[in-house]
Amino acid sequence: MNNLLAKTKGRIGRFLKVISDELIFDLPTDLDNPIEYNTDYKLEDDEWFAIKEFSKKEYCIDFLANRFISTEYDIIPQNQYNNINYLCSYQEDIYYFQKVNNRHYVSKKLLHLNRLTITESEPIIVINEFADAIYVKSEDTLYFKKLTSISTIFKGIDTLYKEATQEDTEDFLNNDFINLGGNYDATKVKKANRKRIAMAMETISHFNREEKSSIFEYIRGYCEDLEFDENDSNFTIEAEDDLKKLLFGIEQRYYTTPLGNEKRLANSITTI
Amino acid sequence: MNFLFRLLLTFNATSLIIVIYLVKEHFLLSNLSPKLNVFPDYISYIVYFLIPVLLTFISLFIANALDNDSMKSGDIKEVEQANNAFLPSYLGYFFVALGIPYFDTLIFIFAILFVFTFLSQTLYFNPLFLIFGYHFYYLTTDNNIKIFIITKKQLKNLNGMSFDKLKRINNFTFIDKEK
Repeated sequence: MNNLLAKTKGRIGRFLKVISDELIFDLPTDLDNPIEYNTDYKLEDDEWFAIKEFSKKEYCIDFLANRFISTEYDIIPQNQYNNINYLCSYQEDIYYFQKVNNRHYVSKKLLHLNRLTITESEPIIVINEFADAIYVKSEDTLYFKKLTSISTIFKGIDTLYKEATQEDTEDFLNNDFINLGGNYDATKVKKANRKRIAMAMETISHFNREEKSSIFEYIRGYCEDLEFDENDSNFTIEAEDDLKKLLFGIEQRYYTTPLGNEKRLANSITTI
Repeated sequence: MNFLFRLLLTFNATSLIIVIYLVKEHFLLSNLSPKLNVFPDYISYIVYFLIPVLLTFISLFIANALDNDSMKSGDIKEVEQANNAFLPSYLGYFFVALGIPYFDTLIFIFAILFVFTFLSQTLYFNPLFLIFGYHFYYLTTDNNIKIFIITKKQLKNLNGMSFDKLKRINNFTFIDKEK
């Protein structure tokens, strides 16, 4: 029997039953030639990434490891309709996941031409043509197209992509706010910094020119030993440690305690 | 829809109190209309009893329209018979009904019982289901979650035990409509 569940947001988010007996997603016909996940690889339209032995991975969720029994899930109460993190449709031992963002909630004003009146349409959630992730239990394999769209469903799965490739690293170090010195170059960047570069590239791509200059100002405030050239407005990076400081700065990991004004570095960050 | 259905089930489960009270008070149908005087007393009592039976039959019929669930063979870890579980509470109802002196007292006590039965969610079970061949069971699923099932099947052996047409009365209570 097919069942559609919704996982609610928040720390006490749980799976709730939405409806049964409806076929929500079709099984794509092109799952037969899966590609092992690789950051550099650009998928063709008819290709999917696959993670084999998914249940053994640390980012697999208990929900997939346990047996699916629909009677265990409560019916979704009305006050949770707007609090859905993702949908999961269970169809014949295959789990289809769809992330739900604000753009999936649609409520539109409608102008009725016959009566010339405006009404507000009932709110709906748009179901995509294809699921964001598909877990085939019999093969213990997770299929997906875009890692970023499922990283909130499978916490920790983003460790797969957060390591910049050699090319990305070179690109990053070629940015005009970086001035390499002391024989330091992309080949010397170690794994930890590569992961940070992958994240920082994503972060910095959202900054405009003003935001960039204010972030550099902020970095200079915390990292006095990081050399900054006022004329060319670039940081001189001569070692792994310099790069690390800069990357922490881009992620805005430095802060000052409100009491005592102590300057600190956040070891890990979580959005509240 | 589901809310009204649960109200109906609660009424069915508690209405026997009213029947017992009416029998105890020798309240006959002939009190309503002198024309009914021709019938013996016990006809009135049977009619009272048939009303909840009929409503229970209707509720079984409405249950077909409820949301579907299913359980496969292997989903169930433990089964526990619950046919007798309602007896203590029912005996309680009966003695209460026999001890009620006035009609207004009955209404008040019935209202309280009704509200608590409705809110308790697990006590919808109604001995009248037994007349229609249903039995009550507690099932524990493979993931250690306990639910209440009303079914016509005799559940003993866990091997191959499956339910394809479960109807959800509430999140703990399901009725099996498989023929």
